[in-house]
Amino acid sequence: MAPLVGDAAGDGDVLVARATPVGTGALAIVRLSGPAGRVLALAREMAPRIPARPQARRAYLSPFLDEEGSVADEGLVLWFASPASSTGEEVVELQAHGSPAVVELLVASAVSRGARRARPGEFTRRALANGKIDLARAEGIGLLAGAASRGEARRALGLVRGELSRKVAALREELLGVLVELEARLDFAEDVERDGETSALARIVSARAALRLLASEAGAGRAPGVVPTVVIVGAPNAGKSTLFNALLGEDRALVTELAGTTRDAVAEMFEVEGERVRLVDTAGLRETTERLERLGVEAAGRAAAGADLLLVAREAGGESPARGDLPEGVPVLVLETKADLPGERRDGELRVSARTGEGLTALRREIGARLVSCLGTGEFGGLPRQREALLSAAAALDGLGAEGPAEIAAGAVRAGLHALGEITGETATEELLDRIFSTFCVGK
Amino acid sequence: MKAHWDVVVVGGGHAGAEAAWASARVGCRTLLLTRDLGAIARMSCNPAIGGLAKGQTVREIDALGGLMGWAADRTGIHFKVLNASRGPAVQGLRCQSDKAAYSREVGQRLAARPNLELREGAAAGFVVAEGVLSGLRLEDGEELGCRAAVVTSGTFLRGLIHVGAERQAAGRWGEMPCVDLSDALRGLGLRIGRMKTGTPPRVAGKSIDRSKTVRVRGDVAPRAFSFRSRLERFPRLPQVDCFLTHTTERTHDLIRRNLDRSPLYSGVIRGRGPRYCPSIEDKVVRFAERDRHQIFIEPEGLDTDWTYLGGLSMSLPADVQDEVVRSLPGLEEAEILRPAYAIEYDVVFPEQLDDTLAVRELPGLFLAGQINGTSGYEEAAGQGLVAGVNAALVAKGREQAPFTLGRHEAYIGVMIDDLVTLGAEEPYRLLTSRAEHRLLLGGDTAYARLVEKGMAYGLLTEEEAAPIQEREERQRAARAALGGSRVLPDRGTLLELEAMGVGLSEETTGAGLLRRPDAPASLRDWLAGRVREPLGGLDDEEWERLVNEIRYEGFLKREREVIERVRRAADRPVPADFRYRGVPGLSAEAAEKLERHRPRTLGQAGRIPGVTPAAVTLLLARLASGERRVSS
Ligand SMILES: Nc1nc2c(ncn2[C@@H]2O[C@H](COP(=O)(O)OP(=O)(O)OP(=O)(O)O)[C@@H](O)[C@H]2O)c(=O)[nH]1
Ligand SMILES: [Mg+2]
Repeated sequence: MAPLVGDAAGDGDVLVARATPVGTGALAIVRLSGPAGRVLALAREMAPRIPARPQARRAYLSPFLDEEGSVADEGLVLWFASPASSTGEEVVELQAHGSPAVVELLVASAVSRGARRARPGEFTRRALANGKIDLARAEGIGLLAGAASRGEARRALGLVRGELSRKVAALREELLGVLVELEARLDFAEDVERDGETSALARIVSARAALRLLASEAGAGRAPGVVPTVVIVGAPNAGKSTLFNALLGEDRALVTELAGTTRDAVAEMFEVEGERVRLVDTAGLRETTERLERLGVEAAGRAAAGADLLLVAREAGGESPARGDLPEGVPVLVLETKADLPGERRDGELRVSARTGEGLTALRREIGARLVSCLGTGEFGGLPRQREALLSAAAALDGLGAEGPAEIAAGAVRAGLHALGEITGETATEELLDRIFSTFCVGK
Repeated sequence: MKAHWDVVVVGGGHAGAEAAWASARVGCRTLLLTRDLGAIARMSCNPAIGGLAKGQTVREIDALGGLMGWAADRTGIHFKVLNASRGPAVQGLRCQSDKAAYSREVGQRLAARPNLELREGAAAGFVVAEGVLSGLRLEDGEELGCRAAVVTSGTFLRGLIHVGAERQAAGRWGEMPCVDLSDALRGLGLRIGRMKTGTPPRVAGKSIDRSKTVRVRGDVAPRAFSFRSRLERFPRLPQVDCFLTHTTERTHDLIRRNLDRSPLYSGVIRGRGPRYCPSIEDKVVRFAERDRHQIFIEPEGLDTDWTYLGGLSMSLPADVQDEVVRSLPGLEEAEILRPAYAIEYDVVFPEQLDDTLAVRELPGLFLAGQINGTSGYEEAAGQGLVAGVNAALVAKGREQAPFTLGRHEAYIGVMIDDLVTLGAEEPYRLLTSRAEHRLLLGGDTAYARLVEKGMAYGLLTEEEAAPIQEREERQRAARAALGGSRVLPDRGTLLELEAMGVGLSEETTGAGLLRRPDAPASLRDWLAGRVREPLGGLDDEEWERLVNEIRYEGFLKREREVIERVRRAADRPVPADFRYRGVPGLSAEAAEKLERHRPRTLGQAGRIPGVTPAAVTLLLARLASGERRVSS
């Protein structure tokens, strides 16, 4: 995703871009957004039938003029006044007939009259700066644009549609409610009865649990462009490279019957169960004095340490690598390879044959299931920041009980609200007082 | 024009008194100008000082050498710690004062102050030379040269009093408003708003049947606001009780039936009123489900029969007020001495000030108190102090850095930062919840926070500060001694502790014992027996503070860490001439707000309503890129 506040040069400009997906649909919308007054003036040059004082959100039929002033198309035009528009600025939308050629003519026409082509994400950034969407949704739009798998797209769409924002908003509401109860009693001791404080404090405990649950739904998340990594490790000749090739569906890594064939860690992207995954093949793990192979074994160790899931390949009847050779804390899936060959079976291990394809479907499914812990179970999410914010909100509430002291609890709830604000970009201070005064009759 | 005065303070209310006092202490030839020298530091509304957040503020003023705490102690007739069962940070000391005695007390202190002259008169305009304030024009036409001025005009700027449909131009009941001064402020190009507040009826104490009300006693062992009171007899005046009654169904009925005669409701009064101090009309309408509201019966002094009815401010006509008052249990025969009234007055939107309370557009002019959209004596006094010191510093040629207080340092700092960055849409009152670091702003720690700063600016002499510093030293020594005193689970110790109901399984320290939530009061003597030296000499208040500091240590430590973290980010300065309008991505609305507020730091920028966190990020990005450009 493009950083939300990266290259922001030229933000006073009128932006123009096609707003509907590229392709020859029946309709294409060309959107103009910019400072109040300038957009309408520019749009009226292009679509002369827009009245000088249009009504917001009303459709006007007008010819659309190209750069030279000849009619390129005809269609409906809608004008949106700032701030009641998708970007919060003045916006005009031209509904043209869908051909890419016509759309390009109209965009070029707008550019010739002083607009600038919008860079990717620029409309979104303006919407965010103007408070039209919250941070989580803006980030969702960025993630959606860059989604490379069904899973990424699904979670990003969840963000865009506000699934996370809604759940966060509900938790925020709950915490704000608790804070109102506490602060009213602290600041207006003479007006508000102390009763009710204990039940407010008790609500903190359940809010904390709900935050942790939501964090697990949101998953560990990935920084933009970073996908989960699955690393195949095992003894030399266990069939790792053959399995790697079989999963990718192409002969990417060299395979020989010699132990110690693979020397370097080889990585490729592949899609499993709708998720994009980085799959890594590594050198077989063994003690060796040969310099090149030793470097390969070290590289394998490093790759394993950074993995989200380890596939440990073990030839039927062969040995698994000693636990000590595997990094701590990385989930492990042990596979029995070369299932087509006769050999001793172990219960409970997934059996695969790269040669016959046996067990590969089950393996894919299993990988998908194991990745849920880092991708999250929820229908939203995607960035590590979001989960961290949820967890730090929960952590702020740790150690509080129904006994108070209330001022400490209130401080913790504030910290929790602050952490949630990092997801949606909201702050709570002013709202708090408004609510106290509308809930309690305070003051002499 | 020749500067006869270093600093002229206009107005003799709570803000003006502290401003003049502070300016004189900093060493400036100071004049306090007021309409009525008999009304210095008059309590225009409730006869009380302190309360939640306000009590802490009074201590801060005291730690900075101010007058309010000491005067309150010497004239208090009923002291009470609010939230006494809670932690130290959210307790608030309050006292009922003998109103006349308070005013006299402050007046005498000011009159006795070297460097300070008091004079009757009223300012009507400003004399400006080369863009800098050079003097004041009085209503009688005289011009007074000065290097700096502090205007503390309270509710007097075009004050308009309402009692029902009757209106009267007045700054307070029966006192002339200031109209010219208001015009003069407007003439400087300042944006002026209008606010309203109200005050309840005063009744004759002898006409109240107290047997139908609830007696409210003050604390058995009153606590003082000021460190100075430890050096003299306290309390000085006899202590009295207050009483509590409540509204009735009949009261509510009367008010509902007569709402159309209340200018607050008929739309005649447009100014914004304080939500935390609603009129009784407001309470009855907005909280219709409540069948009663408390009314506090507070004496205005020892030698007066005037009695204040807290909770009953209104703007209904006098005839309705009679009935309303008489619908309260105990007040059936009450005689109203002065009706409740609402007052509208002009305020200067405080975003036009910087954090020294100086008017940004006119160097040398400072504003403090209700003119800045605040309410409350304590809020006014705190601002007066800050404005007074800074006016003096300007008069002395800015030899010393401006006197400002941070949000983590003092409630006064929280208030001023709120005012100059957020502005005030309703009369601003301090609340503990406005202070994000309130755990550090307890009234018990005001001296530790502020005394050194006070001394650095000449607000306290070394001699005055000596007893405070001794006390702080004693506190430190006691804490160290308790932290270092080992308590071993030997037979003798176990038996002694068991007798107090304290179990012990492993070695701990005196501090460790006190940290336990169930630590009994008897531990104090027991520990004093073991660590006699520093503990024996502590008085009750010192002991309480010690125990609190030990118990809250963990929280306080965390709070300080947060402050450090937040401060590093928020303290990033924004240049005074920063151009918000060209900042890429910044919405026009946010840019306009920022242009108007001109925050000094990114932290302030983020607190301006309408400036979103995303906008702050944009500013940060711009500042960072600017710095890169400069350094490369
Ligand atoms: N029958 C059978 N043979 C297999 C299978 N998978 C791999 N082999 C054979 O096993 C030998 C080793 O395969 P590789 O994939 O190179 O093994 P590796 O684990 O990558 O070996 P190193 O890179 O040397 O560590 C080759 O001769 C493969 O043809 C399988 O599923 N069935
Ligand atoms: Mg290999």
